[in-house]
Amino acid sequence: MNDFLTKLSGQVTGAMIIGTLFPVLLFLLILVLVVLPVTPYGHQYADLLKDPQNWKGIYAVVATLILLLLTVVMYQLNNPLIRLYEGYPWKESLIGRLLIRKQKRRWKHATAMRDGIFGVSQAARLERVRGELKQSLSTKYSDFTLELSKEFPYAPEFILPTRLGNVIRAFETYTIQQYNLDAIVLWPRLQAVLDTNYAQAVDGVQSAFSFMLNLSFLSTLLAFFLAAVGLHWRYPGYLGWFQGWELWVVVLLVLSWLAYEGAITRAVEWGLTVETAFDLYRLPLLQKLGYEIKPNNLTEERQMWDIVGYHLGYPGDGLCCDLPYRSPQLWVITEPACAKLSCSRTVTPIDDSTIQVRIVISNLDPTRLGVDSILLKDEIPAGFTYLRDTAVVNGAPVTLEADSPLKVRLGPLAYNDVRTVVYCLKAQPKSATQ
Amino acid sequence: MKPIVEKMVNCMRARFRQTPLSRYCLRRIPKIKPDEITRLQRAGILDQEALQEKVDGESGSMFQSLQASTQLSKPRLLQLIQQSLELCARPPLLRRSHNHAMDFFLVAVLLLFAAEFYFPPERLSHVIAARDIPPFQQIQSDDLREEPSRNGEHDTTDQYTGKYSLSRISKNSQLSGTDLVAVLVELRVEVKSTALADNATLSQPVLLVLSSRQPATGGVAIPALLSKIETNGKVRVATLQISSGQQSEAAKWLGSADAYIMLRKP
Repeated sequence: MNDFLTKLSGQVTGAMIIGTLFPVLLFLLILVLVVLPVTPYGHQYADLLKDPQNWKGIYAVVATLILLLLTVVMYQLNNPLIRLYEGYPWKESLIGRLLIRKQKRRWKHATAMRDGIFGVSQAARLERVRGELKQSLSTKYSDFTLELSKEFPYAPEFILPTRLGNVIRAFETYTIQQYNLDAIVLWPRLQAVLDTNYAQAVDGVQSAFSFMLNLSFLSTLLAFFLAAVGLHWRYPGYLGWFQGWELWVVVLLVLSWLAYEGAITRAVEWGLTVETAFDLYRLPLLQKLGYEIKPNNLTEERQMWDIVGYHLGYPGDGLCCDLPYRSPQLWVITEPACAKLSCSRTVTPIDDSTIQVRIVISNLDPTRLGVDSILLKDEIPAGFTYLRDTAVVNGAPVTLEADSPLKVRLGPLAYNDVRTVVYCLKAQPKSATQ
Repeated sequence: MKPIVEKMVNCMRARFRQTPLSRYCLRRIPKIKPDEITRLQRAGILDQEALQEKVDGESGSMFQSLQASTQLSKPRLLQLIQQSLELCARPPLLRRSHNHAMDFFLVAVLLLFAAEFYFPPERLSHVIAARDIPPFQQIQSDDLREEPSRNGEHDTTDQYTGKYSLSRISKNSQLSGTDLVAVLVELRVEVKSTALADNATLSQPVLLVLSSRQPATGGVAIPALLSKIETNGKVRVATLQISSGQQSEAAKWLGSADAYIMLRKP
């Protein structure tokens, strides 16, 4: 039995101790010392607990077993519990829709206030207002912006019925807004890339959040249970109000609410660590996923994550284009990024020192999606330079964004439409290449 | 319009062949107007073959064409097509009704508490002695008092009235079934210790000691109420009341043991 307990307790990690074991211990103590004495049953357990002489032998083993068992059960129920508090399972219910409406009103109010204060700030700036008013406007603007970014997802259609749900949703959607990267799909993969110390820091914040959430849940559970047994065995109509258990119900409900508020604060901190993890480790993750190409700017990166996220989220789906593992000779960046285009590149010598490059891009997207814009990047081979003013698209001259590598914007491309890019390269003299 | 929405609807287009739209499906869309159903119907959206031909033939310009023929805004048209597909797909893409589990749960909890409050459980009470009750006294109703119970008992004074106390019950102490007995059994025994019996007053609690005539066997002490002493020559016979529970114990010793009476403190 002791071996079994040792093995079982070996599975209880630090995060589990802080996040789950302590709330469960508190739950059991209140259950035995407060709730059971209200009923005609189980008074002997309270007596056992009150006398430290009993805290040994078989009683200690059984109590430890119950504690560990409940801890493991609560730990396994952590994710469903978070989802319950977020509001996912009941967001479609009547109460869920009412609460979503309330949260949307809060969001609208904060947005209107932020925009209004921004307008007033602009007017104040034009009027050259300085001093206290300017400071006050700036502070208020920051407050509302912070509230919107930390407590709400970026778009109202993502709003959930509870504040906690929206705080979590806010950092889940932060990466979509910032990098076009689906945090829910990529978080398990990112965890494998995180630095050990940073992973421990994330775990620490998450276990503090779990502690608060479990405490809130167990307090609510106890409050309702105590109210039910109190009404049954200590009916106030017979025994009068203020028998003690009513006060405990209030205390437990207040504790539950305070723990919920604490969970929201911890969720903000948790979100900050998750956001930071994506900010710092997303590019190493890209490498770990096998992609050696590096984005040159945020726009390119967003397009890359769009494609990577699509393939990870919908494996085997052939509706999205592939992202090359290494920087390709010819790279076509489209908006939307997932559009599948067909490209062919042919090189024709014109004379001894000049070659003509012909690139044909056709939109054969399986979903018949028109493309809003195309950026074509073509590496200039070593020993060659671009021959000025030779680039044409469908026969019309075009202005390049850069000539090494060659970058040209092709504009929108409807389904089944074709763009032909032709340009010439001139061989550099041997001395120049050397 | 967001490209992702367009892409999603484009993907759904593939389902048209398997999932024919019908007027019935369109009617299920929340907030759809009859006028909109008619427009979609006139535009041929309900005719799957015609619609598919239009889609294939016009290379992705389906929406412009449908928009022109229905005179609906593009977002509304997309919304209608999307919702009709979601509602009519086999297997269903969406649940057709909202999940009201939480509503039912909350209502159930509220009803439970309301029921507990408005239909309270049977009153819980325990019985305590209103005054000191000596042993072997028949308990009267005014000897007892009911008080609200904190431990879940359902005791009433009626269930103790008429019973006999086996030992002294002090005032304000809670009565329990083990202190009382419903019937007293009368027992007549020849008493060995006459001196004690002579001094004893009647209706007094005593201990009846039955001591075996064989030294190794021992004896037993039974609480009793001394009610009468009769003298028959040199023999003194005591009439005692004992609880019915002690009857069998006494029977074991009678005939094989000497009987003594010991006075008990009142």
